[in-house]
Amino acid sequence: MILTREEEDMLNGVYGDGLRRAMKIIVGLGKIENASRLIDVKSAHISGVSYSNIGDEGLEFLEELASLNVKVRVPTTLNPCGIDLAKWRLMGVDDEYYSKQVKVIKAYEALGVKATCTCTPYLHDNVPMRGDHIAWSESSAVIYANTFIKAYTNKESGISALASALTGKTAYYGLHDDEKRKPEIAVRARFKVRGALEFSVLGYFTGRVSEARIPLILGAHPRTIPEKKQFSAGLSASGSVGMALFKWGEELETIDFDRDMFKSIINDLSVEDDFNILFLGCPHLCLEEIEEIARVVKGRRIVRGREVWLCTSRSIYTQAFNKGLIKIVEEAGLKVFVDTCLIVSPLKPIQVIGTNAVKTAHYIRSMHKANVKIAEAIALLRGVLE
Amino acid sequence: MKLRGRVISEGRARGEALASSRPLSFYGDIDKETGLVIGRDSDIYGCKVVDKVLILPYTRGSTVSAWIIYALKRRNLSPKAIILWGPADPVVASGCLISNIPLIDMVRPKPQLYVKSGDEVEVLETGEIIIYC
Repeated sequence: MILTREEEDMLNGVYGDGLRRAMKIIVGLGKIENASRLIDVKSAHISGVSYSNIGDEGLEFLEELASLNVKVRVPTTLNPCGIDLAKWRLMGVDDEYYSKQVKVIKAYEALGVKATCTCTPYLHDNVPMRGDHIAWSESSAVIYANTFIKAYTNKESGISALASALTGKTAYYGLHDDEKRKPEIAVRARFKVRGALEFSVLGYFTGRVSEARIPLILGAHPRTIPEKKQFSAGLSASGSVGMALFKWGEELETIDFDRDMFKSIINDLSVEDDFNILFLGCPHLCLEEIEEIARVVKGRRIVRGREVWLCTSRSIYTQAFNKGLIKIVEEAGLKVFVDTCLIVSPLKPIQVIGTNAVKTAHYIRSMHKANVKIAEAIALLRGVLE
Repeated sequence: MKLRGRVISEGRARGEALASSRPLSFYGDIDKETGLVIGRDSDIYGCKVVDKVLILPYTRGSTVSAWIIYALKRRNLSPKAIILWGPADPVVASGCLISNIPLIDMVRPKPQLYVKSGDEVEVLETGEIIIYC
């Protein structure tokens, strides 16, 4: 690998120990595919923010790095943390957890990272342009950025995205290289796939069958932001790859996705029982979704004993608030949280969670040992209204 | 019997194999408090990865996984080495690099055909994998 003088100096500690450590990670990853050089990145997005996930070990790692006086060199945003930083008491979180979570956020801020705490940075907080080279983690955002914005990022880990943020660099390999952004397997939809849930399952199925190969999707194309988000999140949960394609000139080995397969995936993950909490906002809700929810619940109330959690980013919340939508949904008894989501929060045992996202179902079943009921968001919501 | 792959994170380790034919995500499929496999669709569900030479087709899922690998290592709950027959993604690679866990990918012949859980396996700095029977 040929490094510039500045990159070499970073690696040798001329700019201090923080940049030396970060550069060591970048160069180490470049060796995976014998990258010949490093390139500049325009932005970074970091996962690994919830104290539930990174623990004291991650917190110490970040605090030590922050003590070395390094700062990010490119605009850098954060994934959701374990709590709503303002309404955390409403979530039933204790003081100790809160103080640990705030330490994690403070360490990131000391490194110059913007504590946006959202898994949908591409909606408002950190929007890449077509063709931009970026270093993002959060698997669903990586797929969204590569597939629907046509930016260039590998599926970075939270740690390698942070290393790129500090150095402003990534190795030129993998999905940064047009030659590597080619599909090796096709999935053909055999029915008209429409709506967020169906695209969520299509993504999940595709991740399973494509193994580590970039998939080409035939016969279906997500049009709306919710459909694109859900397709990305489904693919990210079961799969390994960082992108999908919808058009390609060549014939490929093709696997069919039909209605029976759709139903069997839902049946495998979902239970028939009624749910205790309905969680909508995986990935974080966009404005259109909050508008639709507000239309459905306006002037009505949710049934006593049921809870509905909506999760979104602080910036989308502000937009929704200014349109009067937050008032409508809160008057109906729904809870709106920002900065967090149900998957990465420290939940008390909940028996059944309602969701429209296969990604939520996938992680909740193993991480929180809860059961899930999967259906379209609005159908689930109508089921809890008086 | 010897297998060989690419060295992604260099090191030497010897231990008992834990072999799976399905992909895993360290976040979501492994409990960082115990090192137990909790992913319900895994064929090594309920097994511990602690001190094992973990053999997988490839890794999937969450980009938080690197943090989980690091936390497992700090808690002495990590695998001794990880062997993949598919390509390593930057997530598992960066997790192993900062945790000093040997990681070998693109291993041939495919280890699943020659190694089963419980076998004694040694990973060398050169990317060679020795199976002791």
